[in-house]
Parts: sequence; structure tokens; C-alpha cells
Amino acid sequence: MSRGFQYIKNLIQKLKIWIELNKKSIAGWLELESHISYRFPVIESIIGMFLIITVITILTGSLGFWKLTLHQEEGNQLVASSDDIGYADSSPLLSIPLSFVFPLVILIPLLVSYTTARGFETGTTKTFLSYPISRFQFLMLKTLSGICITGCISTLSIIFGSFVVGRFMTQLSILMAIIIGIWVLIIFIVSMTTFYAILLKSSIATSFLGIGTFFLGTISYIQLGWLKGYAYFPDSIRGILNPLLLVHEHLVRLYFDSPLLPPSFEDVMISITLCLIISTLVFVLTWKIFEHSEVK
Amino acid sequence: MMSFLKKRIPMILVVIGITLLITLYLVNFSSTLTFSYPANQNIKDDGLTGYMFKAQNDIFIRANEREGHRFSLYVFDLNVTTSEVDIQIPQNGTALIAVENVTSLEATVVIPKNGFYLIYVTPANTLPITVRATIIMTGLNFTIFLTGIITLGTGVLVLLFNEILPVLTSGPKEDGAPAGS
Repeated sequence: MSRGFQYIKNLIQKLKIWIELNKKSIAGWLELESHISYRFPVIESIIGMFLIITVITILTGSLGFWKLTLHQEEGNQLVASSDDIGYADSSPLLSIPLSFVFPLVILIPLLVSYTTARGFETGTTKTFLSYPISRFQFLMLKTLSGICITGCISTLSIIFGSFVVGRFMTQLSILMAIIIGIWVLIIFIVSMTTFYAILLKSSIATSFLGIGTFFLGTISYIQLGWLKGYAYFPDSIRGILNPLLLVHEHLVRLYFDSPLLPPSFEDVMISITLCLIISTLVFVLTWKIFEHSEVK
Repeated sequence: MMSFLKKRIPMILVVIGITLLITLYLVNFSSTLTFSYPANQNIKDDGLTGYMFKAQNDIFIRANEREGHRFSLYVFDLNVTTSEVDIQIPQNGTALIAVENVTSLEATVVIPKNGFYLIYVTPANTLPITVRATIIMTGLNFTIFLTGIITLGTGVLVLLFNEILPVLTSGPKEDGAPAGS
């Protein structure tokens, strides 16, 4: 165990030294990437889209209504206990991420096809690679920028939503669980669609294949949930299809009296870990393919 | 990188502000709540379903029972600011509205102040009821409106400061200077 920690510590130390030595180059790459892939209004459109979804969810959904169970005490006095309110308190936080699922599934493949696959068609990838940047660094830059931009915008939208409905950060554990679910889903979609982009080098094929894969994954997740009562299918495996929905299902069934058994915490953790492992493996495979492919 | 951030941050703020204000203007706050009780509901043992909500402007309520059975609907001012305490719901006499023994209703509730309110439905007799109540908030959501105005204002100010101020403060061009310099 201690050897493992020592290894991670050394790795972080090496990364720190590398960043210190390459500070100027990193700033240059970021600037180049922002000018090539994230020109106005790419980031602004994503922010606008997530804000519209958040505000519409707040204004038209059940968001902002805390379900309570009222009990009649002596003298016909109705009382709602603090426990009930504590559980109900989480309801606003749980509505926003659910409305993010399909937009994320559609948006990220489109973004990756625009930032990564289109570069092969227009020749910007070749221009980018003529700078002193290795193919691994190029791939890391493309992947991390996609993950960070969509992840940060969706996280800030959730925090803004919980602030608007008036229960800001009261259920920190739930907020954290939802944010982790969103980030894992984003990492998974970005790594998978980057793989399609590098393999196919076509923006149209990347966007269609990316949307198709995760759309079918989400639909299959829901279908397998309906089958749950009839046949056993492990939640940990089902969660790989859409980790955010598994986190959401776990929280909703745990906090609201659901007749169905919630997916266990272990299942959620296994599913998240598997998603991250698959994403890393897909990234390594993408890197190996990119190393040996010709860029025109 | 700094020049990129200097240009993009005000643009992002302007987009956030415009998005919030337009969405707020186009979409009404409305929500449908369902209250369902079986026949011979024992209020003392099983309790009632209620919804706590935050309101700042008057609300419009439209409710109807699926099979025409009778119900009563109440809206109370909760007078609470935190969820950490037990909520004592006032007696019937102090309800903002108390509509009893009806099969459907449409009513506007006058909200006295910005705060938390409670809505609940009870069966008027021993018959089972399923009541769908649609609640429409009138006026704008103050938090979203204020956030929109502040971000839009900040974005516009920074844009003006970055783009227009240098033009105004720069002196006349020297003779013979190339175009666009």
C-alpha cells in the first residue's frame, strides 16, 4: 500500500517538474487550441445551452417543490418532521442532472468532432503538429480541454441551479455525488468519441457514431432497468452504459420512498471505476493508433 | 493566453446575462403536483402529502380530481427560513386559501411576502382521490433576474472598458502611418 502511495507521490512530483519546465509551451498550446478549436462562440454556446436547460428545469419542472409528509398531532396541529424535510431537501438537486443526460450525449460527440476530427479534414491538425508538440501531448490537450470545458460548465450550472432554488449546498454529499457522476460520464464520452475521431478522421462519422453509441447506451440503461424485476442484471455493469443515471437512480431511490431497491453504493463505485478504467484504456489505444497513423 | 481570457470572459458574461433574461421572459414557472390517497385514508397514522415551495409573487392554482370525488385544498404561509427545524403548520383559520369539499378549482393566491409556503390536499370523505394541481407563479424569478442583470451589466462594462476606452483615449494618428496601424 505504502509503495503504491510512494509511486503516486513520485509521479505527481515528476508531473510538477515537467509542468515547471514546459510552462511556456503549455501556455502556447492552450492559446493555439483556443484559437483553432474554441473560437467565439463555441464556449459561449455551450454555456448558453446548459443555462437554458437549467433555468427551464427550474421553472417548469417539479424543481423547487419539496415533498413533505405531514402528521397530525394533538389539537389538529400538522407537523412535518425535520427528517422528512432533510430528504425532500435533495429533490431540487436531483432534477437538474437528469435533464443534462441527453444534451451531454448529443453535445460532446459534436464538440469532439468539431475540435478533433474536423482538424484532419481542414489540415489544422497537421499545422498544429508542426509545432514542437508530441502526438501524446496533442491528444492530451484535445481530450483534457473537452473534458474540462463541458465538465466545468455543467458543474457550475448545477451549483447555480441549487443556488436559485434556495437550498445552496445544503446536501453537500448529494451535490458531490451528482458532480462526480457527471464528470465520469463526460470523461467516458470524450475518450470514446476522441477514439472515433482519430480512427475515422471524419467529423460527420465521429458525431453520428458518438451520438449513436451513447444514445443507445442510455436507452439500453433505461430498458435494462425496466427488465430488472424479471431478470437479474448487475447494476455495476448496467451503470457502465450511463454512470450518471446510475448515480441518480441510487440517490433518488435512497432518499425517496421507492418500492424498488436502489443500486447499492458498491455497485455505483464499481461502475464508476470500470468507466474510468475503460476510458483510460480507450485513451491509450487512441494514442497508439494516432502514433502510427498518417496525418494529411 | 491572458489576452484570450481578457476578450472572452466579458463575452461569456454577456451571453450568460442575455440567456438568463431571455429564458426567464419566455418560460413561466409552472409545475404539476399530484396528491393521491386511497379510500378511507387514515390521516392520523399515514399522514398527508404536502409540498413546501418558495414564492415571491402571487400564484395561480388549477386543480381537479380525476373521477370527480371531492377534496379540500389548503395553502399556508410557513413563516420559516431554514429547513433545520420542525415545521409547525398553522391551524386552518390562518390559511391563505382553504377551499373545502370541491371537485375542481381555479384560484389566485395572494402571496404576502417572499418566503416558504405549503400546499396540501385532503380527501373530503372516505372515497379515494387523485388530485392533479398545476401551480403557475406570476412575475419573474428574482434570483435569476438579478443574476442575469448583474452578469450582463458586468460583461457590458468590461467590454466597454476593454474595447472603447482605448479608442477614446488614444491620440490622433501620426502622418504617414500605415492604414490599420
